[in-house]
Formats: sequence, structure tokens, C-alpha cells
Amino acid sequence: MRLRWIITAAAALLLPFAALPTLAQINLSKTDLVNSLQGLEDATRFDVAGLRARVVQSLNDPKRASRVNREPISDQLNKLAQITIAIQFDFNSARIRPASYRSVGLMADSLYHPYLMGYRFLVVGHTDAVGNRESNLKLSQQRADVIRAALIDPFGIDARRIEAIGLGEEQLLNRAQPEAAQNRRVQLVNIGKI
Amino acid sequence: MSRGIAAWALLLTIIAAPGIAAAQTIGFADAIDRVAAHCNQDIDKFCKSVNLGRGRILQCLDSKAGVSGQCKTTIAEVRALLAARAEARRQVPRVCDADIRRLCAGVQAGDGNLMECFYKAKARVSQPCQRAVAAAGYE
Repeated sequence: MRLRWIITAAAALLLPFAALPTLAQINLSKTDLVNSLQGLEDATRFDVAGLRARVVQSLNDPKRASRVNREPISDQLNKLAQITIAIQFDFNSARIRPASYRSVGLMADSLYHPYLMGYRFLVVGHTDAVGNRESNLKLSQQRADVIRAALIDPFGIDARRIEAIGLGEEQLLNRAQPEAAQNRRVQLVNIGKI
Repeated sequence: MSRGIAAWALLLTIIAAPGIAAAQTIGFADAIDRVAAHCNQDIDKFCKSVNLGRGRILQCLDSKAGVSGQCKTTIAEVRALLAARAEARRQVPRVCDADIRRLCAGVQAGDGNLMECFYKAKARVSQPCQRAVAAAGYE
């Protein structure tokens, strides 16, 4: 019980990093990831397929047409143990820049930690709200897929432990400023026990 | 085949050599960062459109004749690390079997429970098992 509290407190302390991807990239360590990603005991299984379907439907939802202050597509996602990582991709491409190889390696190192070994994880890709909305969705999925592929090979993470989803511009970090750079980010989210 | 033997040799070196710090402390983050640092120019020159994942970057750099010596050395090191880690992960259950039985006797397998129990008890596990765990990157 006490341990659980400590883990929750540690995760809460680390949460500010999630809001500042650039800071996170400079300071991020394996300990940060392991502390942030430990699942809460009551974390329920996250329905990735359901979210994927909802995202596609949301493109035709008139209530979600305006880019400014668009509601997040998944409130549940924000409540799970997670960390936000700034990964640099080539412009309009899913190619990870070598400068960000380290961040992907760090994800892999963390996923081998005994405290995280029993859990499954979701890689979530986000874009800013610039350009075509549907293309953004597609690009974010490709980027999340590439990170997942790299975690599996070369880093050897069991493919069954990792899923990937792109949320395009449907879950902006800075909803008031849809074009802000901080909206472009990758999240690693604990989605429950294996 | 020869790569498999090389990985074994490296793993045995890691497990057999007491107090080898480097092998235990270098993780995937540092290893792949070394590729980024030492191969950056070669990646730009020869593999500009190739992505990380599915072994593509290392394969591409391996296949190009003009890649710098420094980059080639780094790739060989990283490949050896990846192979040694994979081999160590296969070995941990065998090497650590007695320790797991002794220290985590009442723990229900599955859900990573054993790994967690084992991690908490790591100060009390045997030396060969400690080395295997370190080589596997389980820490």
C-alpha cells in the first residue's frame, strides 16, 4: 500500500515533464521512465481498437471540426501511467532523426526493467494541427508504428507487449494553440498487465 | 552462425569476468546513441532515407563499402551487445532457476510477479545469476 503511494507520488512529481517535451528530452533518464510508467493496480485494460475506430469517426463529427480547443479524443488515456517523449522526425515523414535514436533506446531499456516487464504499452503519436487533418492522422500512425518496430527490432521487446496508435491532431497538448510545436510528441502509456 | 558463436563468446566473457562494469552499465540508449554519434555522416551519405526499426539502419550501413572505420567498429560493438543481450535473456531462467525457487517460492508466476519478486531480492541472488541479469539488461 505504501509502495503504491510512493509510486503514485513519484509519477505525480514527474508529470510536469510530460508537459514540457523539450525539457524532458534533455533530462530524461531511465529512472524517470520506469517511475512514470509503473502501472496503478486498478488500471483497467485499455481498448486500443475502440479508440482507433473513434478517431476515424471523429473526423466527421461536426462538434470536432474547429481546431481551437478541440476536446481530447480520449480522457482515459490521460489518466494512465505515461511519459511524453520528444522524438525528432524528418519533416512530413516517419523517419526518426539519428539525434533521437537515444530516446528510442531509452524506451527499450525501460521496458526491460523488472517493474515494467509484466505490462503492455501503447506508443501514441501526435502531430500539431497544421495542414490536412487526415494526413496528420496517417502520419502520426506511421510514426508510432516506426517506434514500435524499432522497440521490437533491434531492441528485442516482445511484439505482444507493444501496440501503436496515431491520434493525429485529435489530442492536442496545447488545445488553445493548435499549431504549437509542443503538440508534436510521442507518448508511451502503460495499458495494463500482460 | 559465426555471429551466434561471437555472441556466445561475448556473453561468456561478460558472465565470467567479475566486476566488468562497462558491459553492465551500457544500455540500448547509450549503444544506439553511439551509432548516431559515430555514424551520423555515413547515415546522411548512404542511408538518408532508411529508418530505424527492423534492423534497417545497421543493415544499410553494413552493406555500404564507403562507411567510415569508426562507424563500422561502432556497429560491430552494437551488434555484439544486442546479440549478447538476447542470449543472456534466454539464459537467465536457467542460470537463475535455483535462486528464483529459493527466493520467490510462494510467488504466483505470470503478470511479471516473479520478475518483481526477483528484482526486490536481487542483493541475495548468486553471483552467476546477478551477472546474467546484468547482461540481460534486467535492471
